[in-house]
Amino acid sequence: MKQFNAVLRFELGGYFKSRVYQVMTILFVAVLMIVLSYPNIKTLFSKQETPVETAPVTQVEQLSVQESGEDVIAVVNQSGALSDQALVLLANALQHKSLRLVEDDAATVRAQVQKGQYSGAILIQDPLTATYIARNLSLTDNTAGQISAAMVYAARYEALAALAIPQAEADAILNPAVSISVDNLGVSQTETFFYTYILLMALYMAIMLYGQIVATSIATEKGSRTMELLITSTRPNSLLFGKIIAAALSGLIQMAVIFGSAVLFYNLNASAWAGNEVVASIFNMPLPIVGYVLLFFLLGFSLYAFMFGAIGSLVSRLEDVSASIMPVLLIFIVGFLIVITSMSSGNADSTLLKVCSFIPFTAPMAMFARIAMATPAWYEIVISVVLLIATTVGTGVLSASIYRMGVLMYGKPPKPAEIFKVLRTARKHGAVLKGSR
Amino acid sequence: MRLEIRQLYKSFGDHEVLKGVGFAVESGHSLGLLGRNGAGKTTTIRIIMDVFAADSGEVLLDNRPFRQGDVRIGYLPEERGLYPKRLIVDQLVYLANLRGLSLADAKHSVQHWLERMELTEYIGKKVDALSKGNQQKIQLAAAMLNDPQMLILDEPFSGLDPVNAKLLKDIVRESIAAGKIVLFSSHQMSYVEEFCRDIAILNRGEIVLNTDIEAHKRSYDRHHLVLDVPADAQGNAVAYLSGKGLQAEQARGDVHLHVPDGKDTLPILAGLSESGVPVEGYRVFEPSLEDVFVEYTSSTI
Repeated sequence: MKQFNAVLRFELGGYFKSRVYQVMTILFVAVLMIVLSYPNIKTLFSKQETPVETAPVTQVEQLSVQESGEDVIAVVNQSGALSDQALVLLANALQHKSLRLVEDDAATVRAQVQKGQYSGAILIQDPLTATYIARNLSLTDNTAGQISAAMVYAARYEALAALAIPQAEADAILNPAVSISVDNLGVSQTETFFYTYILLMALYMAIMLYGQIVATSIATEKGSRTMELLITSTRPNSLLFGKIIAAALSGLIQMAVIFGSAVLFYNLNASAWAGNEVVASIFNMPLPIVGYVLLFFLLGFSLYAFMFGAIGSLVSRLEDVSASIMPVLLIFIVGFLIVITSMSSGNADSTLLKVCSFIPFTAPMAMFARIAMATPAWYEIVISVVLLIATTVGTGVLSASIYRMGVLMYGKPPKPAEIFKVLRTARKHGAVLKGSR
Repeated sequence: MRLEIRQLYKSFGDHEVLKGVGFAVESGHSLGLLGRNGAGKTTTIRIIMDVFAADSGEVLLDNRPFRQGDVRIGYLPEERGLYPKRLIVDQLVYLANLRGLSLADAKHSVQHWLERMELTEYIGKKVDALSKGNQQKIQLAAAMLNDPQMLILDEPFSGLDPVNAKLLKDIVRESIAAGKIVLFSSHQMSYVEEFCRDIAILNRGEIVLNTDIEAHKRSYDRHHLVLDVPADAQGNAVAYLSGKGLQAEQARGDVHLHVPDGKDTLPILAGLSESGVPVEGYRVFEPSLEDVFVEYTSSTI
């Protein structure tokens, strides 16, 4: 225990004193600070330009106020195709633009739009036909749709008017007051999606990053020949577990600092974020979810760190680490992709995800996604976690013996068959094969 | 305390590295484990340190199977290595911690040994900022941190300049005087000769000589004399002696003479002197450790 503490303290010291760790943490916090303070920063730099609430247009005379400009759309109402009432509907449908009724012909208006006198023009040929001339069509430009909706609405009004139905009744027919309330018994994916996504990303990055750090750190000790000094004075289990728990702790501390600062900056800027449902859903994630993240991080990280650690102890040069951990990394990445695509497809309870949530290598991400975005039965969660714990413990025991054998083998990285051979002979004799060097 | 190695056998694959190695060393004594490259020195030391196990054989401490943790051990492995990117003070404190020292004791000990190694100025530096010789001294400091009762040094002198070698010799001498067991391997005979009473010569996995050096040297032929004769007169001396039917030769700047049984030395030397060859002195030939080493390791190949 004393040795384990010494290893833990030394390794943790290594993380906290490392430039990369410090810079990365500070960078994350800084980015979060900027992103979460952005609404306030924006108002700081822009003049107080609160958009003027335009009152709804009620009469056609209220149009044509602005002569020209970026938000003026010219309307050519050819031979009075649309009634005044229809024009008012159109104006209200395009509320963020101001309409200007012009008498010019189509070619002139087209040229004026080209020159930038108007941001666009609407040529109304008849009550059900119009052309929208845009100077530029932005990605989010739905003016054509709005025009269409307004014209459909106007056509219905006129049709009802033709049947001699009074305006008030026509309104009641066209705008019946419907009231729908949602009573969701499970989870609402619109609320859970974003924080699940963020937490999955955090899980993925932390396991990937810190797992590789464990492999690299062991390979470095081996490469720099520090290992013989360590192994002759310390129990290998203390070394391996001390290293892995130190990595897990520094990962957790880093995540705590990052998420903690996110909560802090969110609360400092709470007023600016009021009304943003996405951001609110992220910061109002239920507490049990945080607990599950911790559980799955610790288990998933340990599982992968043990595998990475064993691999790190088998390679003899630092350059070989990345190639050797590739197969394990691939399993992990494939698992992550399956979870993310299942999530994005909106079906967090797909068969594939269900299967993945019981396979220990993908369970940390898959089961977490299901818990956050669907409602798996309690026994499913228990089975998944128990399988994961059993696999992690088994991998830990196996890794510790591979580690003990591997750290003193120099030479080419052994093939899997050779590893099994080493383990078998190790069980029998407690011996080590010398590297092929 | 008495560390005894009995009948160690070890093979790596088809290659038999140790074939029944055995020797012993007691508190307050040092044993030099000598051998050519690949003789099995490091393998033997690694088995003692339990880096790996022997195929058969025993390592005993006071006649009981030796276990790490029974005594405080200072180990200088052949493969030197420290964390290149960590501060020297941090990793030395760490290594001392791993060997059971408390944090405060570890810091104190690190300070003491860095002073002793004249490396205090490097305490807050990283290892890769140090020269190779200084890194070697840091390693040695690491081996001494826990005030070991048993010091096991694998090739401690390699890479040290004469001044640092002297520092190491002093430390080893002090350790012997303090009643520690000192076991070290080397192929630098001059250092071994200076403070080792006992040697074990390992050749191709076997102990070919395990003895007290002085006693062994005295066991050599007492009739083999070395004569101090000026260089220009050596040819005449050999000619005169050969003329008397004696076996004589010029070797290593001296004249070597074998006096047959039953003959007195002094009349021969008097005759040589009278013949005009100045004899400035003579002594019984004692081989250097190097002579012994070469004799035992080359003849058996």
